[in-house]
Amino acid sequence: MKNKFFRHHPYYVLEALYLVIGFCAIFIFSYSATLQLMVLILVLICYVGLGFLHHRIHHDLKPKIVLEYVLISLLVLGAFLLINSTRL
Amino acid sequence: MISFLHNLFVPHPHNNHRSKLLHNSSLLIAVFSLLSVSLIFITIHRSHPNVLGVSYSISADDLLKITNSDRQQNGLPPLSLNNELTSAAQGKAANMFQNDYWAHFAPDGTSPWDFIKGAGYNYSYAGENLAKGFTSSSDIVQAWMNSPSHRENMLSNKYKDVGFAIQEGNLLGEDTVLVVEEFGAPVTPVIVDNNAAQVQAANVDPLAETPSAGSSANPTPSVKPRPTPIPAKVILGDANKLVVVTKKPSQSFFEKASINLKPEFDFSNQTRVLAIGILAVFAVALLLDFIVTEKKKIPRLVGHNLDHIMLISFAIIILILQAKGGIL
Repeated sequence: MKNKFFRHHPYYVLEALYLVIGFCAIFIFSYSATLQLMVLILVLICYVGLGFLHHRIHHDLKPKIVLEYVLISLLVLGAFLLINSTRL
Repeated sequence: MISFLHNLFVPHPHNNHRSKLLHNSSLLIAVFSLLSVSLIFITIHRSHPNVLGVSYSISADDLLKITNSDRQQNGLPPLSLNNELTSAAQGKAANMFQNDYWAHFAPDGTSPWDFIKGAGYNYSYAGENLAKGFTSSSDIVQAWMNSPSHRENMLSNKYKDVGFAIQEGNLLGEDTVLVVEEFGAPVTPVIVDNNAAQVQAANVDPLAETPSAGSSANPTPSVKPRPTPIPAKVILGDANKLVVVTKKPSQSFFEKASINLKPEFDFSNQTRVLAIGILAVFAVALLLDFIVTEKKKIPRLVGHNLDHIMLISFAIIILILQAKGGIL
């Protein structure tokens, strides 16, 4: 498990970085659900893009993996929309 | 039931060594359900906000009571509700909706002090707190008290008076309730000779050198503001700034001092619990899937669980902490 983590750790560090930036931006824009939604969509695009790149570099990129990343992103987007449905 | 949950959360040969919940088909169902319900809610809220929306219960009386209660707990005298400051707050709120901005200073440079002095309140100290998107008076005061700069305003012993505006409208593309709180301490007038008045007025307004300051800070010939031992200071929610006054809000700003909106259905708490609950269930499934497959060294062609866990944890934290409104 440790070896696997260290083999992929630059990727996880990068992911943590944009998640933290996204987290801060969402709090900075706490006054506008629309701006928060835009930041979230940007974070999710980075997530899918980085996932795509990572699997491609490790030669295990398949359509079902891309679909998995897209679906997880949409799940997060759906949760955000549901909570903020009266603010949008 | 146990085997159903086992199949749903734990990878084993019967679910192709991947928790059933994490199969793309299950994810698709969850995504479709969440997005459908969200879009239905958004559509209904936009077309019939009185049917599906958020309940608001905010009043100047409650804001004043809670603020004074907090001040008394900190050994400070209570603030008095002041008509001029209320007028200034209402003018500021109307101006924010009209010019569509969320800031202490308007895009054209109009400052909070313009509204305060324009409403006829001659201050030695003044301050402003803003809030939007909150649903109750207590949430607003709590949010202000949790922010050091806003707390400074709330618990300042310099202020004697306060005024509130609570207005509903569309700000930055979002239907919301805006609350403006203006603090002030009046300049205490004393009788002096006419020649001294000009000099002392300049002491009170630190920007008297600005061309417009002379006219705005000039009282009646026989009255002057009492000289203050230290220069007048004004405090914003998150910035200190000294300005002069040029404008007066119209009387139409004297509007209602409370908002009580009760749509037929308010699902805000339920949707919060549901959305966070769904994400938490997927996070648990991902974690179990990760632990079991790493332990058994099962090779699979799937996405990295750690990626998904990081993203979903990020989302859960945001959705839990996401403030119901913003303060400035």
